[in-house]
Amino acid sequence: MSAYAGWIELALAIVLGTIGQLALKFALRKGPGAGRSRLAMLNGPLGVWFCCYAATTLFWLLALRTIPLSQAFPILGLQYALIPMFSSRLLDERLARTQWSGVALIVVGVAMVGHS
Amino acid sequence: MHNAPHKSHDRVRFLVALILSITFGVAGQLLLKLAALRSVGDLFAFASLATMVLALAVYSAGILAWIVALRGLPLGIAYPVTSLSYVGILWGSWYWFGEQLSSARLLGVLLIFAGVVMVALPQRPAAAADPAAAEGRS
Repeated sequence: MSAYAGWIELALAIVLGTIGQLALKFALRKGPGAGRSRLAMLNGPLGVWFCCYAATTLFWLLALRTIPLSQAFPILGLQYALIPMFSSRLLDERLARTQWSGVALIVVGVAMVGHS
Repeated sequence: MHNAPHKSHDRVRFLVALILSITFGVAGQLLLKLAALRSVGDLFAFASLATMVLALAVYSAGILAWIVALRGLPLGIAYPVTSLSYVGILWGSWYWFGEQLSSARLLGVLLIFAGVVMVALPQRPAAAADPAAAEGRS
């Protein structure tokens, strides 16, 4: 179990980082809306982003206790494969073919680094 | 027309910001690794917490510098230069923490970086790179 602990933490850091950045995209897209104060904005996607950012940092630190940085840091790049995949679905973003190729490259690269 | 000489001077400022953002980003990550290692055995060891605070401060400075850099540099220039982050972190991990860098790991990093750039910089001029993606590094 202790062998996998670091990897679970890394996975959580990646997932939370992805959710956080998707929330940020959503928040930037929506804008403040009519009559909402800046503080009220924290209730919505911006608040989600902040909580995710804090949680990601925590799990990142925990993961680094056991996983080498030269391995963990590149694998964190998996976010940049996950974010386009979800934003094309959830935020109606159209992605160019080169972007999908980039997603594939990231996945292959992460698999290689994960097994190195 | 009198803006032209100012433009090249400003460019240097933004390139400096870019280099600083990469330097602080790399230093911040290496310090985070150090903080994590120092927390093994004692999760709230003072040495670990102190290092973590320093790491987050340095890393935040890097984010600020990145935002400044993006005000004056196109993503097409800024993003490829972030490859230096990978180089710095790989070298620093090897030098400071004695990590082994196998050829599989190096090749994987190369593929990941290529993929990240391709995702961030779509070739079609109609599809502009998303500014939120530009804010998020690492």
